[in-house]
Parts: sequence; C-alpha cells; structure tokens
Amino acid sequence: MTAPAGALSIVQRRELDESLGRIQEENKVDLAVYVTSHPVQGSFKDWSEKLFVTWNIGKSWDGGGALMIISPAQHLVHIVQSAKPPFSEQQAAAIKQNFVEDANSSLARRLRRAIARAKRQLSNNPQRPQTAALLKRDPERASSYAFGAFAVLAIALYLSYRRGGEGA
Amino acid sequence: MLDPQKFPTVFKARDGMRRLLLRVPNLDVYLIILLVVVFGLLNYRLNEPEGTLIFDETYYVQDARVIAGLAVTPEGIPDRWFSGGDPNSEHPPLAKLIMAAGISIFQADATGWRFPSVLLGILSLLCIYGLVLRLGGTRVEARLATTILAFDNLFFVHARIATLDIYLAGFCLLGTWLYFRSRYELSALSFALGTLCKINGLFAVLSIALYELVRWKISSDSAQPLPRKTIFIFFSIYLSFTFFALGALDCYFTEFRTPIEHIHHIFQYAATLVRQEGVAPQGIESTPLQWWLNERAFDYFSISYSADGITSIPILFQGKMSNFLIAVAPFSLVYCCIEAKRGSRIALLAVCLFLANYLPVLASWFFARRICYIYYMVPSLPAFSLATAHALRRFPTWAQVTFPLAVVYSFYFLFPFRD
Repeated sequence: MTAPAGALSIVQRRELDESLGRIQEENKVDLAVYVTSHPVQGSFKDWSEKLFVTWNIGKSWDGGGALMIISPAQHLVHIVQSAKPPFSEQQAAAIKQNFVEDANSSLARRLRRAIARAKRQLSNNPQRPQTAALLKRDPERASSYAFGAFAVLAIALYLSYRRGGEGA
Repeated sequence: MLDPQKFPTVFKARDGMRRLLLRVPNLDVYLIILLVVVFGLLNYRLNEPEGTLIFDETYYVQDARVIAGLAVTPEGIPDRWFSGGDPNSEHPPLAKLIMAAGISIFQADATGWRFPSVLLGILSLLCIYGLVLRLGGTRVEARLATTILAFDNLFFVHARIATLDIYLAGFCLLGTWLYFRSRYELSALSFALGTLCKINGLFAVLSIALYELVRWKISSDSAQPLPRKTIFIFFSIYLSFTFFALGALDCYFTEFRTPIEHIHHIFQYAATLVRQEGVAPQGIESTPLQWWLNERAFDYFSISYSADGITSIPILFQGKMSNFLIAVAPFSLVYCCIEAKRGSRIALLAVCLFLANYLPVLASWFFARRICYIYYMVPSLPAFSLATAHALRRFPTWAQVTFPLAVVYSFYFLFPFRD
C-alpha cells in the first residue's frame, strides 16, 4: 500500500496493508495499491505498466499479481495485471468502476471497499495449486515403507489363505 | 448332450459355476431389494447441488483436488499446498486419495468424490447383515439391523457426502465381519485401511480386543480360552501394515517423513481443539452427552428461496440421527450388556463396538474439553442398529415391523431433497 503522506492515517494504512497481506496469504496473489501524489504526465496507462514492471509485482507468486494505481488529482484508476491475470477483464473493470462511482466516500473507505471487492472476486476464481516441484517428496523412503507394507500384505494373504477361514 | 471329451472347457466352466453357486449363501430377497433401494436413494441426485460442496467436503474435496492437481478455491485450504500433495495434515491421507481417484475417474464431477462414500455405505450394510448371521442371529434380526442402519439419517447423509467418517465406519465394519469369518489377517488389513482414512481407527480396532477379553472373562471356562495367538497375529498385522502404509503415503504425499511424526502431529493438533472449562459449545459444536438427545443437530447444507413472503427449502442436508433410533439406543445397549453376560455374541459385539467408538470421544471431551460434533456418532451407529435389532427380537412381530417403519418415517422427513 503506497499513498502520499497525509492521505491515510497510520491506522488506516495498517488496516489496508493487513487486508492486502491476507489476500497474499489466502489467495496467493500479489495485490498492490499505489496512490499517486501528483498528476501523471503523459499516458497514465503506460506509466502504470512501467511501474508494474519496475516493482516486479506478482513475479514470485503462483497466483500472479495486480497493481491498482489511483490518481486522485486526475480521477483516474487503472489495474495492471501479470501475464497470468488474477482477475478477469470483467472483474478488473468492475473493481475500477465501483471505485470511481464511490467518489463521495473518503479515500480510505473507497480503498477498503475496493480491496474487499477484489478479495471476493479472487475467492470466486478457482486457483491452481502451487507447483508440484515445491512438494518435498521422499520417493526413496516412500518405496522402503511401501515395500514393508507389501511384505505385510503378502504375509497376511498367505496366512489367511493357509487357514482358509477355518478359524484359529 | 455335449461330450466332455470334446468340450472340456465348457464342462470346466460349468463345474466352476456350480462350485461358485455353492459358495454363495442363501440369498435373501429382502436384502437384495433393500440394497437396491438404498443404492438408488444414495445415488439420487448425487452430484447436486451443482458446483457446491456440502459441509466438510469444503476441506476434503479441496484436498482431493489438490492431490489430483486440479484448480481449487481458497476455502478450507491451508497456507501451504502443493499440487500432488495432501494439504490436510490433520488426518491420514487415504480417504482423500480415494476421493482424488474418484475425481480423476468421473472427470471432476461431484459423483467422483461422493461415489466412494456410497460404495462404503452399501458395504457397511452388507457387513452388518453378515455379522448378525455370522454371530448366530436370525435372518429377521439381520434384516432389522440392516434396515435400521440404512434409514438412519446421519448414516445416510454421510454415505453420500465426501467426509471421512463413512470411510472409517465402512472399513472397520468390513474388518469386524472378516474377523468373525475367521479371516483375522484380512480383518487386520481392513482395520488398517480405516485407520489410514481417519485416525480414530486406532480406537475402533480395540472393539476386537475388548470383545475377546470380555468373552473370555464371561465364559470363565476352559472351553473358550482367550485366543492369544489370534489376537497377537491380528494386532501385529494391523500395526505393522498401518505403520508401513502410512509411512509410504506420508513420504510421497505429505512432508512428514515417518508415520510416528504424522500421528504425533494429528494428536497434537487435536489437543488444540479444546474449549475452556465452563464455555458452552459454540456454533455447530456439541458434547457427547447431548448426542443422546439428538441435540445440537445442525444443517450441513441448505438451499432456500423466498418469494411473496413464502420460504421454501428444496434441499436440506441435516446432521441428525433418527430420533427413534437414538431414543431406544441406551435401552438396547443396556439390554445387550445383560444379554452379553448370558452369552449372546451379537449383544457383546454391539456393546464392544459402541464402547470402542464412543468412549474415546467421551473421554477426550470429559478430560480435555475436546471440541466435538454430532457426526462423531457415525462409527457408533452400527452398534446402535445391532443392539436395537437384537433387543427387538424379544418383542412381538408388530413391534419388529413398527420400529423400522418408524425409522423410515423419520428418514422420509429428514430426506435432503424436498422438491
């Protein structure tokens, strides 16, 4: 959460940071919000995309990442997403639209709502589990245990076959 | 007439068929009809409500999806989860692996994760029927026990949703039936499979030891000595298979490297699920004492619509036992205690099954204030049905007919689909 000094109180900033942290933790999506302090010169979209690349957003996250850039002075909102976008185009558009329409509320309230909406959208999206390569398997040890299990199974089947259900 | 010299294969096949038919017990038409009806009811709209998980499926189906490498939604998923691994370390992995296999076979459809439960539910009914006959009960008693269990709502609901309790109950009942068929080794394997699905199998298996010990104590004559060798073989196979199979599953699907490590983690985690002294059960929680009154039953899942001030509930899955069954269960169990002392094997088994499944839960709640839920009664339901059927045989025919009808009546009212 990056915002110019004075735009948010310490408590508000901490609360928003915690919400973003929860999204990272639960949804495995790197979501960042940047509120500009001055009007952006040139194309707002190009500038946002450059910032997204510079900050490496979502690079180390399996669910990808998204950056929401807000320019209060220009009344502009843009969402830049990683190659594997966490939000569909409609979802991103809905988040932007709601943020713009909520113009009468305070910035903190609008941000809180936008993040909550983003979380809801993400919760509706199925996610791929993290790559299997990260799972620390131990196939060798698993084979040893499996060998033991098959040995017990073979002994059990043999004993049962020998007895033939006659009873002890 | 065919010449056996010219067509040896045909005659061999005919002899084989004859031998097979001789091995099939006298089939009970009532049982077949009952199983067909229950199988049909269990499969009725099995994949509904579409796209929704019922109750604890939120955890286990999500786990199974991760194991199968499929996409998941974040509900019920812990922080660390990796494709192909079991993200849920609170329980052994086997049941979730079976669900994952079902999902792979049925192409991620709800039938995939629920159908194994249906099969285990049917297996449980077959085992109850077989157990009664094996332990010297009459066919009427076997039919009663099977019918009562089949139409108990809690059993029925768990036999068509993807949770672990029916896996535990199904495998342990199969183990019990095999034990009394003198297939001790196979019985031990079946109990081990139950334990690999839910750790409570460690307690369920004690029903066998308890049965043998009490029977030996009661008989107090040399005609029925304690089968030490059998018990030794049984527990050796049970413990060693559980150890090795859990170790193999853990090393491949989890980050635990020894089964002991995993079992320790399960009990350690369970020890954290406690309420402070004096705090009433919260939400869907309940105490083992409340279950006897069917109290704190709760809705597993419901869909309701409101229109013009009228609310309709077309789908309602409830975690609730049959009121009739739970009302007579204490009386039936006490009766079985008396009958067991007189030498009834069915009565003794019913009491042992009940004690092995219920007492550990009761003790954990009583001594450690462990959080409990009404569905912890699922593994005890076969004991109730056995005990009630055994008690009913003393009653006149009208009572033997009325009681199962009453259970069916409560089943009808609790049936999940109302539209």
